[in-house]
Amino acid sequence: MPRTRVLLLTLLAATVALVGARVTQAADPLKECRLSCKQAKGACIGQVKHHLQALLGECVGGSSERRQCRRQARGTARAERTACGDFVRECHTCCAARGSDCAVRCGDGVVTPARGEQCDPPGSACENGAICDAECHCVTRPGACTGACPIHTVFLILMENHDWSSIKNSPSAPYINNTLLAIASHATQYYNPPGLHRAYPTTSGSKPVRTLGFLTTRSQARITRAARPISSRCSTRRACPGAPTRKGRAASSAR
Amino acid sequence: MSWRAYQEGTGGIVCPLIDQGDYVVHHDPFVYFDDVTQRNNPRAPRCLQHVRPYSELEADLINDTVARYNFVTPNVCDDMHDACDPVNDPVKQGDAWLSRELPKLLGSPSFANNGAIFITWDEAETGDGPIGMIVLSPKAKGGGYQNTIHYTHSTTLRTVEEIFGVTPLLGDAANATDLSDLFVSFP
Repeated sequence: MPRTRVLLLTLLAATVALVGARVTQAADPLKECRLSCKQAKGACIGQVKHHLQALLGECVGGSSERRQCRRQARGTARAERTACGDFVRECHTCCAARGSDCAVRCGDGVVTPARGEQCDPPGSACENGAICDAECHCVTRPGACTGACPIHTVFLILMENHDWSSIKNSPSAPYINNTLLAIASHATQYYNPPGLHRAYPTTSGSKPVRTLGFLTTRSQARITRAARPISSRCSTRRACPGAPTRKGRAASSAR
Repeated sequence: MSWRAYQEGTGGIVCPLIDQGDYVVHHDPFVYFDDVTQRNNPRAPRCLQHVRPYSELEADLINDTVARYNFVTPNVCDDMHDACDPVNDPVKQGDAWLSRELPKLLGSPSFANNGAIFITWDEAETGDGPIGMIVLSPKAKGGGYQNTIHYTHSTTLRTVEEIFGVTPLLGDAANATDLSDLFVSFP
């Protein structure tokens, strides 16, 4: 009997040791995963600091204007830090669920097919000769062509609130008049949709969206609710003698 | 089809749902779409993927990684909206911004390879216009060509839909004249 008991105890000890080893092995990937989350959060916080410095650098004017601007910048940074915290929580949840590559981000230099990446970092050359795009996909670009090749890439630049008569031949617009128009095509009879000022007095800048015909009345109402009052930059941050006052801006919020 | 909105003054870490600095949210149409923001979620992946800081455009141009459709919104000092120190002349500020930024676009492979740049204004000062529409492209007639055809923003929507082969023509785009007259060949 004692020999049997010793044998049983030995087997039990061996089983416990094996199970313990398995548990130890299983804990390591979790620890590594959480560590990668921590590192990704560090990179995120670094981005926030960089952005905050850039925003603070834009704070000019009188002392009260600078204070207001800095407060606004710090508020933005707080929101961004919160977002970094959200990211790390999502990363930890992913780790706990034994997900793979929880802290992967396009741009880290490692191609992660499990996350749909075909290349990394953006801008690098793909094996098929394409260039890695911003989403870490190898998008094949068309070869150079002449004649009737279709337009491939569109850039739409949206300026604000001026008649063409205020731009054309204006001494304030030498680049447009002397450089751009000389190499461009332009229209002289291009209009905003009729009655724009009268029709959309409460929806602020959403009017381009509305006038392009995308929105329903319900979504327009949601936009109106979502739209926050415009911060009164001119009355607080900058000296803007020619710009509308805070009161005037509120009255003409459609602009 | 790939698309991106480059918004000057945003940081790129959160979906820009509120004003920050000289960025005003109501100049950024894309964050008004629920399928982009997941109903105003600042961490919405689709928003973070597509609505990017304007400061990223230069690298994307150099690396030739811009999307096929790129919507560019300068901040309120650079888009002629506000008078800002030290210039205090919205038109001059916008013109100076274009003089700094357009050469980057015009010198990019994306532009050289059948790209097209449309510069327009959201609305007139008081009435309905005319407002500006300037087209730059290797495929445009260029050289100072101008016409007197009646256009509206529906024209631009139709033009972009035709370039990318998107149907049906949305809203008033179905009734509008496209901008093909400004090009040698279109689309």
